[in-house]
Amino acid sequence: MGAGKLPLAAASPGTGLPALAAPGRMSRLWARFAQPRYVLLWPITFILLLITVYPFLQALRESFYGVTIQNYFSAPFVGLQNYAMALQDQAFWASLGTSLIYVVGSVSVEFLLGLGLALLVSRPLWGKRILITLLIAPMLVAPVLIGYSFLLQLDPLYGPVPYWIAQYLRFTFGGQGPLGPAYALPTVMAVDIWQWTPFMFVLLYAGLQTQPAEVVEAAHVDGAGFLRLLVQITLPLLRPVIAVAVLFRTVDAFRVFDSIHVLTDGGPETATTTISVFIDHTAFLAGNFGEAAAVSVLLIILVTIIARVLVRALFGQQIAVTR
Amino acid sequence: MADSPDRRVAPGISPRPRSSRALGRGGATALVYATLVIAIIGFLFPIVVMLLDAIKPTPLITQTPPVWRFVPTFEHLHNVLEIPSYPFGSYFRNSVVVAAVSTGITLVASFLAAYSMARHDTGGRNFDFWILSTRMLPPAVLLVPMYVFFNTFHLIDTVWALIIVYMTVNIPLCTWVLRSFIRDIPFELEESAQMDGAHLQHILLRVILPLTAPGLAAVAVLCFIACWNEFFFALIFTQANAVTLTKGTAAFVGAYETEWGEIAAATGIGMIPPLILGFVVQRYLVRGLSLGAIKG
Amino acid sequence: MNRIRMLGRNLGVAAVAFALLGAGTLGAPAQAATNITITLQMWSGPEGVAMRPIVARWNKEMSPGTGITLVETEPSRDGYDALITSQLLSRSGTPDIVFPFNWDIPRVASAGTLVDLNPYIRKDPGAFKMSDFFSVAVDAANINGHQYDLPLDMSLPILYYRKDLIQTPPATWDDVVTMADQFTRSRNAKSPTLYGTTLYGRTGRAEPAQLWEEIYWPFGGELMDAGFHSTIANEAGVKATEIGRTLVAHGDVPQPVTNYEYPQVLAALTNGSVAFIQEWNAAWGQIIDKSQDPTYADKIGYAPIPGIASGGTIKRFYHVHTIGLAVNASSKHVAEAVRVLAWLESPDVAVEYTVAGGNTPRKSIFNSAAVAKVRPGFQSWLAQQVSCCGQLEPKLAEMPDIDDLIMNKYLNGAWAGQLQPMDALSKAQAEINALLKKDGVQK
Repeated sequence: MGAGKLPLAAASPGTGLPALAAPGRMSRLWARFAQPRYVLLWPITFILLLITVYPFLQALRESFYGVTIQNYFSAPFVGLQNYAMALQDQAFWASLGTSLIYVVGSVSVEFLLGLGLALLVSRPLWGKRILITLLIAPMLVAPVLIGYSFLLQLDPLYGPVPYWIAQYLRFTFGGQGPLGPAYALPTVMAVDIWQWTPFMFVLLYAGLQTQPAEVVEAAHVDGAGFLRLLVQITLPLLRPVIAVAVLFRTVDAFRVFDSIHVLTDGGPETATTTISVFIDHTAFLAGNFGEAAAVSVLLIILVTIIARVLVRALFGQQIAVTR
Repeated sequence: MADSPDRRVAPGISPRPRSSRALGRGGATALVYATLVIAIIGFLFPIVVMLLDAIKPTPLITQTPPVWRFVPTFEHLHNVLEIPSYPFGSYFRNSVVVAAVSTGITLVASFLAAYSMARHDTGGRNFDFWILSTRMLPPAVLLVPMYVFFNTFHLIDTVWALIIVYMTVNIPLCTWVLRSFIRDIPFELEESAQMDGAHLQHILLRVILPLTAPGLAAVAVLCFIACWNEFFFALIFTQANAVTLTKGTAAFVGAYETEWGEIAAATGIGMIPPLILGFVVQRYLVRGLSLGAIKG
Repeated sequence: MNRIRMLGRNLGVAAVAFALLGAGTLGAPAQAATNITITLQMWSGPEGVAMRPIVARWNKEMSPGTGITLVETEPSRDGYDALITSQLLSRSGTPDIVFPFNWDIPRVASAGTLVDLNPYIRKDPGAFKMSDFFSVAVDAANINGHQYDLPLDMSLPILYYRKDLIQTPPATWDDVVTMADQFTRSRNAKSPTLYGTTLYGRTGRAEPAQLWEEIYWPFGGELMDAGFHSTIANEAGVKATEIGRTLVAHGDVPQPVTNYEYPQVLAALTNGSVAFIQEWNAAWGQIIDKSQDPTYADKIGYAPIPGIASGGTIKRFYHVHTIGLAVNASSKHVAEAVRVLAWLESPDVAVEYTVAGGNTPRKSIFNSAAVAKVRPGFQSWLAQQVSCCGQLEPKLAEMPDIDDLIMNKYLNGAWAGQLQPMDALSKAQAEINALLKKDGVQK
């Protein structure tokens, strides 16, 4: 299992690529990157480079200039001032904290629920296709559009949700409603969980489908019970998919914007101002593109660090294996 | 060993779970169903409420306390489908083209790269993270530079602007997921095919592709949905010709009034293609395409 | 078999998609050699809807003679500012005519993205008839002597109230609190409505500040002095803030106020939950429309915004802002776009627009018979209110930042009781001054 030599990797004539004559530096480079293994990477590299290079570099450049809407075409160079301003801005740190709460809270619940559902649905059941289709329903709706519906549904004055919660659970959200100051962040996280648990579910379920039955049977022959099977066989085998699912959901959770913007736009006050809401407000409300760019760069650095830590923790040794 | 009719039961659930000895197999299954039904109710509830709004007469939608007995109206559906100022057909077609083409190209490109990365760890960790980083930036700061970029190539208000942008977000996910799935395929299979003198294309298509079917199915759905539902870039990069369904539907939130019924109706209709795709693609989310097919 | 089927499916999807794509691009309208297309970007809402017959009229009447075809787009209100900003800053040439709020104009105009209309107005004053506009409305987009838009719609918050429940609408802000108490069921079990009124508190929007101005100005407050220093942390400011704070503390308004903006505020009145609201004039058309508001369409009346009693009269102020038509400086057909703009704003065209649901602030329109027919009494009354008491905010590039972020945050904090009014206003003032100083605006 794992890596191995690509068929025909050694014989360059067999790949149909031109034979190399003089070993100049360019041709050595070509020789390396024209190998089949690299050729397979060309499509995505080309696409990603095409679209990201210019905007990313532009955003990076903007972070070193005091760019605002009003001086957009004549912005002065300010060096690291935008970064200094951001790091000294209490609102920046607050939004970072809110993002961390949002990410950790949402992703962990989404993972547990998604895993549970994937395990349940993996049993022999009738009507599995319908069940799965219904379970992925929340993901099928555009976040921005269901956000409008949620605005209505969560409104204390005309929404069914607070009405029924008040009727049947005797809980009135302190008179503020689910989007009031004390409850806005948990509510917004609940919406995220509602919407993205299916994401986890789909990936984990697909992962479960590729696990070989022989391993399970072998373990069963050894008399393993349900829980031991789960912990010692299933989860370790599922680990790569869990890792990808958690990693991507984490990266995405930092970027969530549409639904928060519609539900609360970062409010009440700054209760739900995550870092991506903060960036949007800084860029378009305050009109300060320079600082928004600096914060975006800081965000990428932060998320990359988190991603690397996650990868090490979740993938363990697997990602480093090459044979 | 052979009592369950389908031996291909998922790992983690042994064919004779311990719990079933106490409750009987029927009891365990009933519990499973009950849990799933509760989950489904939780997931569907907000959607059902929204769909009901689609057929509720407008004044009742914002009535306190909420009203559930009413005479349904089809005016919202009519407004969504019939009136010329909301060219539903055009929006729908644009969404389909963008999502299908973007997902298609993404799948092909990612599949190729994932194979190389799975077998040879090509590019190493740095390449992995570079791909991942293209998914990290919130759109706000990218809007103006991207607008300029697309405008230079006359791609504003064409489907290609969105197709390209969505690829940058979907390629990382597809590549990473498919790489995981390909890694799980035992190398012996390729080796034996290679012994038989197979070309690279043949190995990719006949050996690897079928075995990665669940992974492909999963990311196909996720990518399609991501394209279909995206709002912010669609808002900015389209104007009149390439407007997608999501952007068009959001326009029912006008400056002063929100046409709740129409949004609900349009959103409901907009759910149908991803729903169909999700349903259809499940045929590949099945273990049957795994080792058993090859070994025999 | 399955693998081949799957591959075939993928290829089939791609093929169909490409075919549709091809069909789609083929369907794009071809441009005749002599024809210029001008894109007019409105927004989704009554203004966008009202503009449609006007665009049709241009294409029928004026297009053959001028060779200019007009196309209207109506994006959603969500992300509208980000949309216009990106379009203008990217200098992409479209849309040709944009529909911005006047408070966004100083900053995009400073970047040089809008056309100064004054040269065109001077060349052909008859086409523009500037004196027919309410001066406050034109002034809204006049930055340092450059006229960057012509107002197409004018907005000011007025009072709407349930005339079947209220004999005399509140005349002063103290009356507002008293009446709100009266009509809140938690304080007065016999109240026919749940709450007295509402508060517009939505995060990231300018309304909290703008509606607050209508309380602050009558108390004698000024937003800034001549040197652009913020001057809100004073007794007038405290009194103005106390109004909202009292309303919240008494439970007179539905919660959470931080979610309330136009749709919720209006719905609260039209579904019978509240007795009166401070709301934009544009709502009137919707209120009297029986199809949208069947139950209360004839039970709601309008009244002047409350003020402060002083020397036997009521001193009141209306916060005025405009949404106008401006020309994109990067447009490839500036002269043609200006021509279309002048036509759209001309009295006999704009009156049709106003009748269809717009609000073009020309004296001739507000007092015209056609408009009086659809909104009897309303527009002429509005004309009087604007003329006597309409006031603009300072025309600074920083106003969006000040209103949407700083004032919004601190007003909500004070209203919610988390901050004392003076404390909130002092902090707001300090932040505003720091911002203006940093941008070199202060003298």
